[in-house]
Amino acid sequence: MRKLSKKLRNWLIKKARAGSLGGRSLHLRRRRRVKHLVQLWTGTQVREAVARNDPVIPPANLCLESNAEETLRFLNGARYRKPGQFTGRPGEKMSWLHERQRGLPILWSYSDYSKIEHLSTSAAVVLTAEYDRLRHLYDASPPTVNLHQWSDAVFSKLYEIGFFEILGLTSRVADMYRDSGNVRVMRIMSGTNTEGLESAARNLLGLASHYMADRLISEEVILALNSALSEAMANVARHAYSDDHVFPYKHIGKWWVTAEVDRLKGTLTVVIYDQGATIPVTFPKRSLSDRVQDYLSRTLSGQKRFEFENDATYVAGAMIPGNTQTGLKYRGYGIPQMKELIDICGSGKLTIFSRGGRCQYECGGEVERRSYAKSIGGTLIEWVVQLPEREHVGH
Amino acid sequence: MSATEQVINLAEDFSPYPAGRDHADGPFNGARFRDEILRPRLADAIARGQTLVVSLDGVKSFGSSFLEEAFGGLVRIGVSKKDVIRYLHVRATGDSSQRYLDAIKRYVSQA
Repeated sequence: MRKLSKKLRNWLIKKARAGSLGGRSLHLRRRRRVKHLVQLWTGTQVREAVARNDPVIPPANLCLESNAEETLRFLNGARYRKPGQFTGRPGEKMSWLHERQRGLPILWSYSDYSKIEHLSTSAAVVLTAEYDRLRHLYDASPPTVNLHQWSDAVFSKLYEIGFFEILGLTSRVADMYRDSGNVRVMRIMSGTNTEGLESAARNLLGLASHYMADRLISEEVILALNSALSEAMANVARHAYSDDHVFPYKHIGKWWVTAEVDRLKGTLTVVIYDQGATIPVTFPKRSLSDRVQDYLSRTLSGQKRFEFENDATYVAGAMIPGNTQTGLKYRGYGIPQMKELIDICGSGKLTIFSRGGRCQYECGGEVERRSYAKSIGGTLIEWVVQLPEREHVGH
Repeated sequence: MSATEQVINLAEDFSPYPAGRDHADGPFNGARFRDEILRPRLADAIARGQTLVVSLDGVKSFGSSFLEEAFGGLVRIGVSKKDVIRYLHVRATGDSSQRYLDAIKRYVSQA
């Protein structure tokens, strides 16, 4: 071992203070904890608490389409959040907040949603699903912190899809839809298999037909949409939460669906998400040509290797009719049927995010694929379809 | 309904939202429809020398796993493909369901 001379000691201290040691980490200093006051919204009242650590800062643009890498990194971190035991006493229940006999309660960690400026519907669904999971597993969801500082856009998006109802902070209302400008959003629904198809399909039809009376949603599109959704739900029931798969965190076996219509754009967007084993895990097959293509594109782009680098290829493979994990020739039509919806509509796009793989199909085009280093924590399927104007139909 | 045919209305006799392959996928799955309704009714129709018509009118979803398991699955569980083609007719009046009729034919022929 090298002797720790005074010169070497000074160098180590200097490097440690600068936070870097030539690629090696040396944590000589403890992480700085900054106590500060936060406001918690419990649904009925606002109360104060002391936050013991700096908050996790989400990206300003939390969107899987325009800022996928940062959004995935944040969502991935959120997935490993869980309540703690503050006293360490035997039998202590895990909780998000440490209530004290004297003084304000202590909040160990939180994410500062006031830093988010834009929240996409898909990212909102992933976030809501995560809070739903935590609430089911620990009887309480993470506290809503500094709600008064959240941007209107973020609050509205979460309110519209029913985030606060899932958290138990607002009472469940009968109305399935909420309006915001030209956009009407369907409250998030969840289930475990195809049993929820009928109510989801009815709500989707109600969303599109009532809000966009000037747009046509044909019988053919309705059938294709319901069929695609039924396949997505069946896939969750059959493959997503298989007992064969070891999950890095506890799951609750659900899918979550939401939708929105944009009257100005004339679009209907439907999103379904699950926290299951993902396509790259349940269908890890790549053709030889795909392997060669992956190798060439990685080599030519000079991209470093990463854990989920082939995931987009696995997802693209599952989009080909007849490709299935079972090897049975009569299976493997589900994901192609999800893609078929876009062709039937004649415009629009299908995006499938599964673990680190993302594939996007636009009507009449090729499937675009990209892999990311962080997982979406399951599979997210999004259809965006353009509904034609009524007066143009048949002309 | 003529004396030479029997009719199953999928939407009314089973569900307007059939989906999935078997009970693991949901309650109105293909295997259940096939085993509880389609197969016994087809056997009866064949015994009587009648045609069994399955009407898709009123059905709101045609997931491929349901269609394949219900119709393609008939052949896999032992009903002869010849009998299925001869005695089982699947019908839909609207144009929007035509692609699913084609899919059913494909599933039966590939089974």
